[in-house]
Amino acid sequence: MPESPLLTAEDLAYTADGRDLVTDAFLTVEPGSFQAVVGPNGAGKSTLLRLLSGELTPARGRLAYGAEPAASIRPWRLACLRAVLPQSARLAFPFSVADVARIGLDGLGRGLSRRDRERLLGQALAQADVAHLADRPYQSLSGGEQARAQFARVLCQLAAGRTVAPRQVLFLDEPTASLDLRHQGAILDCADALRREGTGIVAILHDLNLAAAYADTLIVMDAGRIVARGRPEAILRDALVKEVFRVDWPVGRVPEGGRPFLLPRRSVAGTQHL
Amino acid sequence: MAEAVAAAPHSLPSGRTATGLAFAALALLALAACLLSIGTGAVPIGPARVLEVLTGGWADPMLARDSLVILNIRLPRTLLGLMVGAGLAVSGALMQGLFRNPLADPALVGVSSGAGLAAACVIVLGDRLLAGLGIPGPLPFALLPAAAFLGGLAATLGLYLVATRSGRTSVATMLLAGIALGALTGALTGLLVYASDDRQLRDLTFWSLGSLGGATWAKVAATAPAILPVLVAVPFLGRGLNALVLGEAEAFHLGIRVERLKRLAILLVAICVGAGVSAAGVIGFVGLVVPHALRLTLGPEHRRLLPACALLGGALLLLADVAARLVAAPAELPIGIVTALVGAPVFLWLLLGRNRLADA
Repeated sequence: MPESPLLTAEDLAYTADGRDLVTDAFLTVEPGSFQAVVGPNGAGKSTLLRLLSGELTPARGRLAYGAEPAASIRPWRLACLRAVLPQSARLAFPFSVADVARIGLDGLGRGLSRRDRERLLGQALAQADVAHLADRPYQSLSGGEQARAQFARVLCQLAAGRTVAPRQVLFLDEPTASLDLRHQGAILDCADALRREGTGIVAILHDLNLAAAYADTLIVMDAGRIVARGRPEAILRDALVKEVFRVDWPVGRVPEGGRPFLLPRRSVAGTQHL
Repeated sequence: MAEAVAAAPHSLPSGRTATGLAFAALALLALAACLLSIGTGAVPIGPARVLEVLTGGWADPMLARDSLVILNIRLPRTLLGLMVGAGLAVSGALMQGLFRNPLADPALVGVSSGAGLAAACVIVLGDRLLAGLGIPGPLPFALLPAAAFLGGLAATLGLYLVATRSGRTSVATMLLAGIALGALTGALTGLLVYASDDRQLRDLTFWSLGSLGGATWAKVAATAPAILPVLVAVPFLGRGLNALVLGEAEAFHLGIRVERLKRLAILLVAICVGAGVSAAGVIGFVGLVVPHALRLTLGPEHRRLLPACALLGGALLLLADVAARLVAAPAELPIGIVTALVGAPVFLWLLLGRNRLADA
């Protein structure tokens, strides 16, 4: 069973208040894959992620982690199989950054001594570049620093869960939204390092350039449906950008390798509107 | 990000020794409060004498008078105060974890007055109902805690349903709903006042301001089976409440059965508040001040916070009771007045500080 999918979703659908938020979603997550979910606001990206993580119960369809139907997996075990980086979270109580990250280790995993947990905590804080903030109250940090503290918490959860389930999926909901350029690159590099070790990554990204640079597969959503999917260089074309994102921005190609990139129309010479 | 791979084990901001010391200090404080509470009153008894009586001296004829006072009056009052204070502080911390905001207090948001209203209904209407059914009174005392529990449960559930929309609790809505709930229960209790006779009226006044004055061994025996198991059970909710601080979805992602945790927390709050209110009336602000003070010193980690709340809550309520007995001696102030005088300014200070953190 070495290369069976980590996660299989078939025909997932979700309806809220009579609106179909997600329909006909088929998706598999292979070990060591990096899939970026892209699409305009309200396309159903977050709902799809919440369905895949088991947070929402689909109205229709099947979801399985490995061979196990997701609905029959106990929450504790599910927490060892996958982790989710939320968009942003505010805390009502003065937890320190180390406290927040430690919540990801707490009670998960098997056979970890107190020493092991402290070691994993130290590694996660360093990887998320928040080791120097460890004793600062989470509430006092900037949005980007809070996002990195949450990422440290997610890394802790994956590290603890690995002692129970070595085949894991990491979901990232707009991981780069509040980060500066250096940390945008750093968080995705970190996810990519996890991918190389076999973790399946599913990330919602708004920046198509980052998506094209890091993902091996783009999943393009519009109006609750997956409208295109494939390698970025294969599917990211002018027509798709125009149809899905409703902008007339030209897709360029990096000379070496041919990775696609996107620039606002105004910055492309000789084609200024208005 | 991945430069420093060989990171040293991170040093705890509040290590195990510091926590141990803090708990030892809290236990000492609770013990000192007990000795003070047993020693204070119309007949002052020194701590040494108190210890002597409690460690077997009650049979000594030389100590007969003090033994009588201690065993029949002071000891049940002290034990009741310890339990009620612990229950109130722990239910405050539980509610704050459940609502994910530090301003939730059972008395402030109407849970205690819901329990009090139910108890008042039993006091005033119970006797009539019994008379109507032809059963001789008075009502069995155990009915009061049961009614107060149901009242507290209904109030907590109602508040939760009103203030929480799709997993997010609005602080403003919760406090406003608490005001509405308090006004409603106040009005209904007022109605009951009109329907009550003199004895019932005295009971109702006692209920609305709180007092440990009516402590008896029977009340201790009725309160202990409700509050003590909750105090034992509550640290096991710690991991779940810690994860819930991050949000309901995040707690689920971390493997917590969120719905079960919330139902359990509401149930435990209702048990604590119901037992506390039926034994000592509505006492405010203990559930607000104690968890807040402990978060500042011990940190917000719930497995440490909840047991610490039990110790400090018990100790502080005893000290408030001692103050209530001394200030206007030989008369007694209702203890709710003392806790409100201390607690209301703390609440205001919390409200003002909240703007800095901007978590509206």
